[in-house]
Amino acid sequence: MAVPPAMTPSAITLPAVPRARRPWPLIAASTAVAALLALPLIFLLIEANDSGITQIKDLIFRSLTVTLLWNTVRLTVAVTALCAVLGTAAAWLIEKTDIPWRGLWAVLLVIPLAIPDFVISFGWNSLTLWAQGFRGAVLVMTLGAYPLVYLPVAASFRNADPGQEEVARSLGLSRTQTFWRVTIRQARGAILGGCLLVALIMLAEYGAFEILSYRTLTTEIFTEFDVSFNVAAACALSLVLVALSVLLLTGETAAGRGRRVSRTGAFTQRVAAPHKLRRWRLPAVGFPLALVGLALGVPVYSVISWIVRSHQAYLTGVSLLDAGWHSAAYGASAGAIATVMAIPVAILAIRHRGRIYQLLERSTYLVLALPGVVIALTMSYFTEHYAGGFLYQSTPLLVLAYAIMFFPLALVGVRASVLQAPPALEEVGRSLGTSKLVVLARVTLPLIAPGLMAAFCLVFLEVVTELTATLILVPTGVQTLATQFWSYQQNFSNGQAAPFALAIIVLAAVPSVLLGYFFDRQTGGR
Amino acid sequence: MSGLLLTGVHKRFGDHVVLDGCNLNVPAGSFTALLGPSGAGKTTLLRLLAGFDNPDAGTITVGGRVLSGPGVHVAPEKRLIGFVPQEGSLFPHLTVAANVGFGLPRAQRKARAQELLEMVGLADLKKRYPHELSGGQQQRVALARALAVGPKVVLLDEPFASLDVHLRAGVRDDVKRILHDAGTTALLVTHSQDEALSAADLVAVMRDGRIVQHASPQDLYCAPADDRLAQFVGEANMLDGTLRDGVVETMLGRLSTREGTDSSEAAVTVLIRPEQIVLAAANGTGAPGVVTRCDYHGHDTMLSVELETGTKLFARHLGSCGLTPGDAVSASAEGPVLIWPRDS
Repeated sequence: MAVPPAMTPSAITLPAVPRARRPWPLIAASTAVAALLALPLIFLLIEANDSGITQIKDLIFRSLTVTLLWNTVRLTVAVTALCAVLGTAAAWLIEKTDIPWRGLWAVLLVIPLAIPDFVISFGWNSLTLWAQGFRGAVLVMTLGAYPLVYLPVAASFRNADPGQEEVARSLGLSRTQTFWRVTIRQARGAILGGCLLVALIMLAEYGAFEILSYRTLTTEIFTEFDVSFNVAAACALSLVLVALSVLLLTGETAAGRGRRVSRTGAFTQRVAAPHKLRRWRLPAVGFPLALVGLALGVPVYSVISWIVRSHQAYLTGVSLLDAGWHSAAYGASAGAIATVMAIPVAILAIRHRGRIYQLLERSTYLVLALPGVVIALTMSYFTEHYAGGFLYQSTPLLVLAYAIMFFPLALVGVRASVLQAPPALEEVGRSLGTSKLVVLARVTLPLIAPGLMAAFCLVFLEVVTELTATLILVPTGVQTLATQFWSYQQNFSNGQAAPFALAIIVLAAVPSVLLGYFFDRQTGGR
Repeated sequence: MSGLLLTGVHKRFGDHVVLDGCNLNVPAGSFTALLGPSGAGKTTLLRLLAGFDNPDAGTITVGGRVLSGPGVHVAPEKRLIGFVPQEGSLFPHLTVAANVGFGLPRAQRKARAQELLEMVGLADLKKRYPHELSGGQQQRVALARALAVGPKVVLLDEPFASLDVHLRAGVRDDVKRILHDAGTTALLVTHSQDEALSAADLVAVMRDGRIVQHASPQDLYCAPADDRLAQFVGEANMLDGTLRDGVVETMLGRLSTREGTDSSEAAVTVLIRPEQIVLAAANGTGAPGVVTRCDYHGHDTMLSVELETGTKLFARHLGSCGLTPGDAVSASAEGPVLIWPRDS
């Protein structure tokens, strides 16, 4: 029964090593998406070139840039650090301890994501003059952005292998040591990812800073483009912003290198017993209570009190419904488009190891740091030059602009769920005689569906709260909730603006609760 | 028939050669275990068979049909090769019945799933979801799912590794019976000798990306192809000896050899299995030594003996032997033994 021994290797001439088959359809789709997202950058370079390199140089190297850069950087650093601390602390309390009313906090802590930063700043600004300038900006932006750290960190805490903490304790580490050396390490990737989003969004924020009269690169870019029509200056400042975000992205990549996420075996997912807070159990409630109170309570209170105080004789009911309909329709279309665009990019980056694929994925994050006004002007520039102004101020163009602006957020959601859908399942599907496309429809899509939903919700929420691009690209005669709020607020008609703010909060609260539910579910189907 | 034939299969990842001219012939309807240490290339071989990867060179045929070869790569879904992965990999969003019926046309799903679940004894659980099953149940559902589409060959990738020891033997017997009843050719990957020797009709041992021996468990144990294999499968004492007139002279006496030999004199390496070692009271015939260790396994006892010359031996004794560490003994051996020419 013995089989002849194997031939010696020298007896066989190896052909040239065939390269692993490249996933061409995925590459083509991802490249197209990346190219679309590169348009704003191309636009900036074209404009810079038209203005002349020397002029751009002079505009970059002047004292105003230094002031704005300093304002932007110190704000970004302060807010990102605060968000990291608050978001992680909140996630730890909710996920890892026996804090009372856990489920309630898990929902309430996410809702501030639904409140546009310009509404939070409006709320604070109309209550107290203390919230102005740097102080105010740090306060408002932290309260609006911490959920971007809280959500992924909470999910990562819940997914982490509890065995690692137990082993650390058994090796003689105290609770505190275990927290710093194991728990935080396990969540490092999630914390870094959340911080990156916060920092990028901070760079692009406009409305809140305008209300708080805090000048950053982005507010200045808006003024130069929209008020002074000084394209060269706006371009120069935008390029500084691009440089900043490249720095952020490389920093995050470098800090995240070598991070490994390990899980328990596939058969079982053990749940760790929550830490007993004992006598701190009730005092601990103060933390989420304060956070929710400041981030959610203050703006909602302020908006409602404006509505009550204003004694409006005429109701804005019709325009409110109309604006709400437009906001929702734009949000839903952009959410769907951005999510579909994110699928090939996420699959390529996660399933096919390769530096170039990863680079392609990372490059798409750049767009998040670009102010809405730059995106809007990019869109109008390209339609004007290459389509004869065909789609300018049309609904499709506005929706596409939204999809481009918030693509990175869609990518975050899709990425998370592609990671959860192991390729082994697809292989099994194919070995059972089903083709690639059928496996995609019957295995992959059902598995990543929650992530697609999350991506859709994130984009929807940001579109509903978006301001600057909307102001430029919205079809003539159409108002969204955000633009209507803005025009009343800028006319100091706070009473009339307030119902629109409330409508935004209500409209965006739904997807943000869904989002909380998605990240809650990410534990493997409990 | 649906025998499996691999000739000259090469595969490398970057600079790392994983399969280096691998040849294997699995007869139709047989149950072959692919045994080898971790990193020997077993899983890679399975993935090439299933069609998830392409070999760099060589040919894979099933029942005479070329699946992979120069210019040929049949897609995984067209191979009719079932695959049971390590952790079962059931679809978490589908019920047990839907998992089993996954690869079937819609009309047949319900009836065929029922039939297979009855075969693996899990018909009651068809409405459950995978996370509601135990590890052994998941494994059996994965097998039913693979068999449902009527594959010619089933590949099992360490399917029992993640099961409890006391579950393992039961599930293994079930799987073997089910595969036998279905008449399917099966290839089981394992790094456990016990599993390979007890479960399979044939065992193919893999080392450094090649099959070094493919034989029945008995032949593999009694007539390993080389000395490294002898030590890999089961415990072995390897001694130096001199072959003269068909008899080999060792420190444990003159022993007959398994093969007919010529009369020439040669230096050889001798394989003596622990059960061939005979221990007697001290000062008897044989090499003097001391018992250094005594592992009692119930049905037998494994003894370690250090001879006065410094050589260490393993000896197996049925039942208990009344010896304890420190006892002086005389060791001898019973032929016939297996020999290989010794490289000097």
